[in-house]
Amino acid sequence: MSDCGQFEENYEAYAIGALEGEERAALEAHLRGGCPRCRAGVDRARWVVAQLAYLAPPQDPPASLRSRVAAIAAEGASPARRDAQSERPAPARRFTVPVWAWVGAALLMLSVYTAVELKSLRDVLAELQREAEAQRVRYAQLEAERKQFETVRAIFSSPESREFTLTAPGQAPVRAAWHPQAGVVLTAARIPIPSPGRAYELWVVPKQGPPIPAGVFRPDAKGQVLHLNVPAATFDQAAALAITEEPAQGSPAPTTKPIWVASTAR
Amino acid sequence: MFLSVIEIPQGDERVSDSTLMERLARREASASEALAQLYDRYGRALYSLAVRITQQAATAEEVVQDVFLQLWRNAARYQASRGPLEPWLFTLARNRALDVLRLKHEKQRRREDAMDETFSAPAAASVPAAEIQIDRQRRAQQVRSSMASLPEKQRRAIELAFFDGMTHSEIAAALSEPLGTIKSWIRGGLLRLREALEAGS
Repeated sequence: MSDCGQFEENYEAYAIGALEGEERAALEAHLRGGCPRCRAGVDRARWVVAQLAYLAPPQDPPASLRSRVAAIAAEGASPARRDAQSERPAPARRFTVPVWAWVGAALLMLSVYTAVELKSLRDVLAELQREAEAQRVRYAQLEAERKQFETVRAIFSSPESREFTLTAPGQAPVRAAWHPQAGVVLTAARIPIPSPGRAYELWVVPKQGPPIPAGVFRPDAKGQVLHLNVPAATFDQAAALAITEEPAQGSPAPTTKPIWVASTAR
Repeated sequence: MFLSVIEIPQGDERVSDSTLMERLARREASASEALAQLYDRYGRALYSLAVRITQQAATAEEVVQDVFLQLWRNAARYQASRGPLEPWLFTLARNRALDVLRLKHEKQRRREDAMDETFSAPAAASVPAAEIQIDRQRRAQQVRSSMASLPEKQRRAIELAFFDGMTHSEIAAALSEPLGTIKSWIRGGLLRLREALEAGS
């Protein structure tokens, strides 16, 4: 690139974010063009700029922050661990004990009594069927839970997702990651727990028309939230995300003022 | 909700950042421990930076948590770029903290995705040997003394850009100095800092 000279004097300003207007646009376009010399120059300037972090007066973070950080990985890893632990061995073990018991009882009945009471055999079969059905339901629940984890993880890691921070004065923020197809995930920590019979409801506020409900949720005892919903609206239709307090079963339209809000405008 | 507090041994400086990042990328059983070790290395510096920018302890905590969340989510992507971790973490923390500031001031978010902007950046080749050779304490000292050697107003201009996210013209207005002066102060100060860091290696 023969014209790199004009950009060279802007590397530092660009790296620190002070460059603006046409100069910034020109350098950005040039970098997008893939100039290796300017790329390296900007990277080097960014490295220098990053070192300015050492000018910040040292502050000790609260001890709890460390465990919260470590928990990020525990949270992310949990779907796999849940699969391994609970889906296979646990249901199998719980399943085998009653089956053996009932089969044993059935064999005993068959061998001891020549006149088999058809009615009691039918009872045994019915009981076995009920047991199997209960296991199937339990398995389906676990499977649904696992799928939800997968979706959440996919939404967080997808480059197509957009992230928003819903803020409320004086409250911890609620984070949202929104994927065009997979839906929106809310996460929060230490938010107030609504009184019994009440819950939070997420709304997609469209550019036109009334807010669209996007699911009801309640934080757990620690005020933590993980909420997944596929809203009936797209990014492009949305102007904002908002959270209101509603009756536990949710409302078709907001009945209170929004507590947390984030603009989704680009 | 799914959080559990995990007992982690104290950070072991002998394990390299890239080894720890590999554990994160592979989602190994020790990933949580690896994340805590990275926190032991960089958490305090990141928190200090976030407090300086946001001026709020609670917000700074959020920023630090967010940085480590990004680290966790993007560990595999980070691996591919192979640059040093520290400047990337600093850049991400700064961008996130400035985003919070901007949201607060109800300004438009300029950095849509700090991640993409910075992840591609520090290719190993472009990073001065100083990154590897000088220990962090000494580098911190060099940064401070290099900046302290600048005239007061020049230092202030760089601080306004770095900690307050101001542009050339915003700084010019804040300091009542001509735009051209601000431009040369910022470039000159950063080049001087680079020389100091490279000389120290």
